[in-house]
Amino acid sequence: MDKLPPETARHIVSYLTKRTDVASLRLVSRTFAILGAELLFHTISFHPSYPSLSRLRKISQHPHLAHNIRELVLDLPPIRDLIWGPFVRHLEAEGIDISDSTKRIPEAFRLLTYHVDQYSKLQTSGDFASMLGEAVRGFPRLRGVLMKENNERDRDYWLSQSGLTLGCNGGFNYRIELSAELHGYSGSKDHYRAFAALVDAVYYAGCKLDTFYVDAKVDPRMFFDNTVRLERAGVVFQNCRVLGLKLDIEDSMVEHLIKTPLFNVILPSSPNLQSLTLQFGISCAREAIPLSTIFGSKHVWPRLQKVSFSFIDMEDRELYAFLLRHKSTLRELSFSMCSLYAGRWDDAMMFLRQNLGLVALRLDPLFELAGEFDYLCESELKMMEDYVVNGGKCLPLRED
Amino acid sequence: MSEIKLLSSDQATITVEKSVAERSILIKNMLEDVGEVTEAIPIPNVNENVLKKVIEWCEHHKGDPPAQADDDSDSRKKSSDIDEWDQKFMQVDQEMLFEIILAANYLDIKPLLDVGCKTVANMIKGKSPEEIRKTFNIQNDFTPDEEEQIRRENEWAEESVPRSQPLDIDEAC
Repeated sequence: MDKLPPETARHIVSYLTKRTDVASLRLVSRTFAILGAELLFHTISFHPSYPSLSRLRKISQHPHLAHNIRELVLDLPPIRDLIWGPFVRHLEAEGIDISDSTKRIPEAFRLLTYHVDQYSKLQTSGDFASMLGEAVRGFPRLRGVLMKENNERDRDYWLSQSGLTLGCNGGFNYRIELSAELHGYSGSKDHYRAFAALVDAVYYAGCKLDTFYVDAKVDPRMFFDNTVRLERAGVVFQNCRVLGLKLDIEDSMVEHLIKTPLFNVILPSSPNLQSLTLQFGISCAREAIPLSTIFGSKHVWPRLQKVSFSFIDMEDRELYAFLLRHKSTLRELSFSMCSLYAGRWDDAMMFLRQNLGLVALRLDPLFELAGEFDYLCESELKMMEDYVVNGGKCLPLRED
Repeated sequence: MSEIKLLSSDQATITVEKSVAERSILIKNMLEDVGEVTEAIPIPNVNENVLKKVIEWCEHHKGDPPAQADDDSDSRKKSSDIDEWDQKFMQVDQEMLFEIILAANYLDIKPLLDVGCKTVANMIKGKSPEEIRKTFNIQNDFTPDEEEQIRRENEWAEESVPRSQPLDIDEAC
């Protein structure tokens, strides 16, 4: 196998989907160490923690690995896991077993406090941005950045508590007061700092990104008030084909949001945009966020093929106007948890069938707010999808 | 039904249905360029045994629809997804397997190349480095230091955050 031409060997390696298999292959011979690195280092995940950022920086200092990196994934687990991870490794290094040792528990508490302080230091010192910036400068072929919250398990807890409880089965438990003022509910302020660090790192490294995707609850006031950073974000988004902003914004902030330049200045400056995903957090007052305010009434993305809206409420006419402006390119649409303030989804489906050549349509729960509140069930949505995309015979029968 | 002749690297002439031979993009383009041919088309990189095996695959798949450009990414994800006939077809000794892959590459028969590469990838899956070397008779050309360095690099590529075990609030207070 080691006599195969490199492109054929590369083709074989590309079918290995588990990282453990690629890692094993890299240990077979020098040839496969190089080929495997292309795949193993293509996408690198990291977390907001000193050990994780140090690891990223270490990769960037080895050009034979760093030049393979095309995509960075900033994984945002619950804060307690970000503290617990380095803490557990530290305990192992010190030989402390908290599940059955009692006399070393005070020592364990001291270590835990140290790691809580380390986490807070990362958030407040500027180290996050500088370490990430240094690493990204070493990734000349970086094309995609994703930031994804992995915090569902703690969400309800965080919404009601600013404290943090850590524990293990052996009876070691500890309550830490993490300030909601510093970290934000559900870590939303920490998430904003992570977003800011990513934007700054890419901006100063001069990377031309193809993809930028945020799926995390980000503190809206920090996000929209920092106009300098939003302008930098605009530069970062400029060459993107794929842009996703699932920001999970609280309804009280949505009105604030549309007064910022993000939607009417920054997003329109991405001429290559092919796929746009937008998600706000929650339904909001009708006058708060008209779709035409987000996108203007004339702007056209000349290559826009795919649009995915979640938690966005709109009037039928402004939706139609937006879709008509993109009718020659738009092929895939997705609406999830969206509401119509005026008009009905049945009519919207007829509009889609008559005016757009869609190849894919995905409808999740949809609502109508005109007149009496109405909710469309799954079978109705499936029928609508079939009607628009496959030329299905009819729309679901609904009461007038 | 028109037929053409192929001449293998070991000078064997094989007659094959034109539509079957045209599974090879190399041959298809060649025929389009030169029009009618009466002479055998030389296939200098492929011997008779391998060429017959490749033709057997092309005959079985002659009615397959042409691959879509975006098929690639999906099939990439499922390397074990090989149909039953192809799996049996690929049950050959390792030398023949690699010869088929090389021939598919040279003749530009992408679906056959994919099946061959998937078969090899499946032989790698779940094996330790030593088992992979043994399976494919590969020499370990690392120095101990180099091997240790690769091990370290592999660790940098992967990181997991140990999950803390949440306690009930009342229990903690």
